[in-house]
Amino acid sequence: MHAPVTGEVLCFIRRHGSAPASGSEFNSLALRLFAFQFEKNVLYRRFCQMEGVLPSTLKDWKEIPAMPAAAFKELVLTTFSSRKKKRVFRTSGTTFREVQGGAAIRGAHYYETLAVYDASILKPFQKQVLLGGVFAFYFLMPSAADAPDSSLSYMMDVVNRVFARGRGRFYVRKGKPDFAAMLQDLIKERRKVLILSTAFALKGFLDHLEEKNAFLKLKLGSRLMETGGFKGRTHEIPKKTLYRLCAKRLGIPVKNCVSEYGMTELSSQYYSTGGGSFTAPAWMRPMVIDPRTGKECAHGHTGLLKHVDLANVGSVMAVQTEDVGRMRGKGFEVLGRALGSEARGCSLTYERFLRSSG
Amino acid sequence: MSARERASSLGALSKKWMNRDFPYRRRALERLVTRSGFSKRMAGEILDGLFSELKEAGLWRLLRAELKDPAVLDGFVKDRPASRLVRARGPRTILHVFPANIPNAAVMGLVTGLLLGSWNIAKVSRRDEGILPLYLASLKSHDKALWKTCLLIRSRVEAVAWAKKAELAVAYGEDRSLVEIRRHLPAKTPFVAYGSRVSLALVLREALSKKNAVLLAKKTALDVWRMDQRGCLSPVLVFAQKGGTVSAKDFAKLLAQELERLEKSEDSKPRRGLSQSLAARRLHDALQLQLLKGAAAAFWKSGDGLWAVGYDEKIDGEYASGAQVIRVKGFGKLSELEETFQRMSGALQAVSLECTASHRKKLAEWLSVFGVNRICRAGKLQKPPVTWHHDGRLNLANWLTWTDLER
Repeated sequence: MHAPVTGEVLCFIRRHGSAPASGSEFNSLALRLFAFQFEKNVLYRRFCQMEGVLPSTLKDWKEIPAMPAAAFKELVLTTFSSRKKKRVFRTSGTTFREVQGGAAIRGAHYYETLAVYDASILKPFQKQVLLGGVFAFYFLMPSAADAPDSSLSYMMDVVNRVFARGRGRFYVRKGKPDFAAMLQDLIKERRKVLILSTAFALKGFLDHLEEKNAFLKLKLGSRLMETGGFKGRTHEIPKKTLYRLCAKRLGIPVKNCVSEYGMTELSSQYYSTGGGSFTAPAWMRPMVIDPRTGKECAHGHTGLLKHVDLANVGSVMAVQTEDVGRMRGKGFEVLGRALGSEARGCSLTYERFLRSSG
Repeated sequence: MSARERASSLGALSKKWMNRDFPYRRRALERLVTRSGFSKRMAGEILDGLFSELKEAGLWRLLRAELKDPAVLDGFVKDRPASRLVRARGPRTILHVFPANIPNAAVMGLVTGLLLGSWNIAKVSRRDEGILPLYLASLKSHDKALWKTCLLIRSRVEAVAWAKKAELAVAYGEDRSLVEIRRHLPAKTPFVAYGSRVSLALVLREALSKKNAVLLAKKTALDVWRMDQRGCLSPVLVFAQKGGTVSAKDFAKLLAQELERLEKSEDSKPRRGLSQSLAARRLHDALQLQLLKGAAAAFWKSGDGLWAVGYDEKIDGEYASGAQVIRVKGFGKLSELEETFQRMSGALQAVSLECTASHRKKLAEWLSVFGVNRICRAGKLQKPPVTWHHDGRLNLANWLTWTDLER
């Protein structure tokens, strides 16, 4: 038996899958959900108390205390008994902060039900990625069977089931991408193609095409969805360069390249097209926070991204990330991580020391 | 020019730099504020700390500490224990590669080369060339003969060309840069590399009396503040022993208060960037999570957010530090620190140690095992004597070539 607020969120998502929600509608549901999480999630309640915020004093969703994303690595954040969990998604354990000091510390997001999660995937994906087209789906990432605790693989599984009737092909098996097979299949492909990949794997595939001196001309209207960035890996390349390479090697124009911004700690996704800003579905709100003051930055100013995601019903709806970004137009852009960008002198920070000795 | 004459001339120039009205000093202060991002007060202290040690007496002390008889630079002198005569000569040409943002290291390095009578090729960072160009300009008007032995370069290409000709290369920087510089040197060219390092404060419970704790916090705050926590002598971690009259956590609070006081008394503020704010934010978040898990932790931030102090008792594990963020770690027994110090050995520089006099030597022995090369009192970290074995080495004796004349 799920909490009534779960049903409310589900209705909200279904109602506003394509249509925007008014500010007051969002605010009202956000405050009700906050009150629910404050009551049921003991650790979050304690966190809010430390921040001096109570449901009775809150008027605006912007004031909802955001739990640092790192908390998912250290605490079990649920509004239900963790014994009732239906699914646990874990972070990849590949970012620097997760691996420093030895063993990877992976964040975990517990779900009592996936109904809200599934609902939050479909409409935005349809609207931003498919644009009403019919495609052959090429997944350059593991399937949910191969990576059962990956939220991204789960999402792709849902997409495959709903939009590709389960006929999409996955080209990462047991952690290894099969670029050669994907290339062979794409050469033979006569339909419009949708390639779904992590940015890192996509770069690997583009390198493979370069090695083979291959230039594909995928059917007009083919599209790309990339996600996940490079997770602190050393050979990071700018998104524009990645898209230009896709146009050159795959024949997918930049305007057909979509970027997805999601994280295990959230249950919904943002999308951007052609390198533009990321836009949110109606049940999600991004904010940019000044790390020095903890207050919202003025539009266009750089700070840390905070997300309020109503689909995070069973955990915490407000999550503070360490991603640096700024609001742009009606959405936001991600600028990466700014650690160590200033001149530091000859002092070795302990963090840098660990990195070099790790 | 004899070594004595060189020390005398350079010492006299340092005296001028100590004068508040010396035009080059005024311009250096401005540069340190506008270009390097220090506050006015910090900049003044940096120059005072540097040039007070580079007066004639200090330079002579350095020569004597390392060479015993500095006349060895001018001719053969007796080496009694070895029953011989010895003569030392500085390298004909030294290539110095100076870091951005650490003004005193550059002047100190150049002065050392000048003391030895070498030609000095000084490569400064394009990002922030510091005060070296101003120092050289002041040298030109003070002692043209010495000035003529210096050449300031800014381009990497020039540095690579000089690397082939220099008899010694001295460089400061991160490991990656040092490896890159070494790559350009001929196999037999000696290379002295000063890398990035960590300094600490270690306070034992006996030092945390009610009478002493406030003063100690004040001094530790000054150690943090003086170089804006950018130098290798800036403490990034403070280990405070639990069980004193003043608790380790209260000491952390006192330290935070002192940093806030320093911030308030500033007539200009040091520059802060996003990564520093992020580091403070990350520390805040990490400690809040520890609190949620029921561990001992606390966090303080100064009014303008220039400084952040965190307290916890987790000795190992993940924690950020540096970037104007100070971690105070409460501990019980010294043995709890061994594993951490072991991991840091090779990167440790100095420790400000506060304990009873009877413990001091024994603790110094223990710290030296981990490669700590300087142990001083709180408040003195940023004021190393000119004779300090920087990175645990002799400063100029190793730069020389010796000739032995046997009987």
